Amino acid sequence: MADFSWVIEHFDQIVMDSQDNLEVFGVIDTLTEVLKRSKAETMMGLMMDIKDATNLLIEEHNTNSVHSGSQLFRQYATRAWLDLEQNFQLLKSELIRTGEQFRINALASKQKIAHISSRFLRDGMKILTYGSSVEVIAIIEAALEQGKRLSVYVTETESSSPVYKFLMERNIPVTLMPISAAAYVMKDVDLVLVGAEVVVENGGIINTIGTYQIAIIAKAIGIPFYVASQSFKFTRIYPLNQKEIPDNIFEEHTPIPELKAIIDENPENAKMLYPTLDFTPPNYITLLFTEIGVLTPSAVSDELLKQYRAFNELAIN
Amino acid sequence: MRKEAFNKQLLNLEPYEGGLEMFSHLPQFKVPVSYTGAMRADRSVHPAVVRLGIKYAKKKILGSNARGIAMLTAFKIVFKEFETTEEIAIAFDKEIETVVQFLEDCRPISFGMDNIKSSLKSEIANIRSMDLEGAKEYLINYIDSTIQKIEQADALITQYGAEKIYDGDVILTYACSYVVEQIIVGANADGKKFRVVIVDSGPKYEGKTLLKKLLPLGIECSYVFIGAISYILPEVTKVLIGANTVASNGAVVSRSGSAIVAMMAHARHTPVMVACETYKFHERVHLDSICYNEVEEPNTSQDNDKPIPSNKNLKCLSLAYDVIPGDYVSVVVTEVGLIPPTSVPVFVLRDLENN
Repeated sequence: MADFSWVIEHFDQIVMDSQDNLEVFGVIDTLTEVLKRSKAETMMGLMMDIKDATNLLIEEHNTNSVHSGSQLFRQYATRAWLDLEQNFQLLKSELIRTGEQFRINALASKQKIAHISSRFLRDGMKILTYGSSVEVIAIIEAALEQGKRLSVYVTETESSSPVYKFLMERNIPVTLMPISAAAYVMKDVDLVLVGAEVVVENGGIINTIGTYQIAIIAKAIGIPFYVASQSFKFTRIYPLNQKEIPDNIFEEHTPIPELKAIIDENPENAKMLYPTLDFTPPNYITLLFTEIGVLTPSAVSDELLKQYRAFNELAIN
Repeated sequence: MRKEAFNKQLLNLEPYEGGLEMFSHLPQFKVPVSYTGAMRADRSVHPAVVRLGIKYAKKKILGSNARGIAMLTAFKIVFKEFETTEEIAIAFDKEIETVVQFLEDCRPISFGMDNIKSSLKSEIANIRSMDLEGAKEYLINYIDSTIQKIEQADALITQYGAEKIYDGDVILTYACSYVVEQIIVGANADGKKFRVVIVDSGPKYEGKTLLKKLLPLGIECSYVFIGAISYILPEVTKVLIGANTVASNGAVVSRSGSAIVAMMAHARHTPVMVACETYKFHERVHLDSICYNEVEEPNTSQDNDKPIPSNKNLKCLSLAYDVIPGDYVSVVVTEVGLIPPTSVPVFVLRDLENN
């Protein structure tokens, strides 16, 4: 196996440097570097190098973003191999070029999303947002540049701080509320706008814990629930319930002092459930804002099938 | 339309008299008489096809996968012994039509079989310039590879379906489906710890067949009749059923009774998985269970030997299939992976492009 001792450090550096701290940039950049340094002479050898490096990354950072990023890279490589009629040298240079372009394209696609979907934000609207998403920030920024006046409801959770900071800096009227007040405010809000960690095959999303709750409340009250996400977050996983979220991290949580005192008296009895991710099924999502367009959840699978060209390989006819 | 179909028929069979007016547009169950004796004088059908047709009519071969593969195998025999003086393409085309029409007369063919017939006919274009022996070899090779693809598809579906069964799951299934049985057996072989609930209903009680296959493998099974489904559903984590076809609007055509199972599961937010090979996907749009269906012989229970006494005030109805709206289906398990029912038209369009 070739020398991959530099892989983890390289990944961490890229993620830190990248404006949005996105792990997927780390993955694509690192794998592109793997290609550049690879001494393989055949497609098989190249894919082996990519696989080995990916395994190292996953061992260290076992998250959905790393999985989907590496899967995206491998699939693109396989597709390019078919497209370039199996010319190795051409393939290698094409993949390196695309890998380097990826971050530039990602920034461009973020702007595209903002441009397309800022139309859904009209002057005077009240928005509820949850978690922190660079795409959501970009959309609100674009709407502001168009001269629209918006007010935003933000929940008091750790994950919301980047969004809260952004809104305060822009002097946008922002209301802070606990997530338990989501149903209370829902009727006053015009739309809900969130990002996604990952978009799954049926158009549902995996996102910060609490997203599903807000989606259910929005549907019950008749408020549109929009998800902003770049298309590289589409993955071919298909959770059927909350337990099927891959690699959900359960936090070691310290309860509030009032409860902690009671727990300390009887620690064996105290079970704690603090998941960090939940899964929102597609029927709660109104539309997805992506750089390939504004999609309904059912369009996600169409796009994935197109990308993976699965049906060409396994067609019966 | 029924008159046209009647004129195309190769067999003169007595239609069932006790049927309902409301369903008279559907293919009716036919009273079995001698199959060769009832044949029209101007056509002849290969004995292998006659044997197969009788098996279909007597419900000896059940399940659209089994029927599809049996039809392909019969086609191989027919083509091997095929002799003609006519132009190759026309002769083969006519032969395919004759075979399928005979099988249709014995029992309406499934959508998967219809797709197989279309793809076989589209291969005729490739044999135009060949001689008889070359054409035979080409078509037989094509059939062999089609059968192989179906078997490979089933193996992949088994794998993807088994991956979706987790330790602690309680899987509910209805009647008896070949791919569902394979998925359950596969998950069990993978060492997963789960329970199976088999929901069954009269008059056919097909669930008993599945039960007999699963119990010897040590799989923990429960068996309930469909009337008790609301009783058992709180224990169930996932529903897994097979399909005759999935239509372009995502509607699943499956054994009569499946729709009830799916609707009840949906009302409880229990995921419904449908296992179906992509070759069975069809371009039709199914909005209800009435426009397309099959009227079967009423009271075909294996246990009950007493026929329903005839009475002019009594009409009996036994429909073969029903339709599950796409909204109630969480995922379709296919050989290309897990897809939402809304993505079925992708495959239908691809086939239309290819053909």
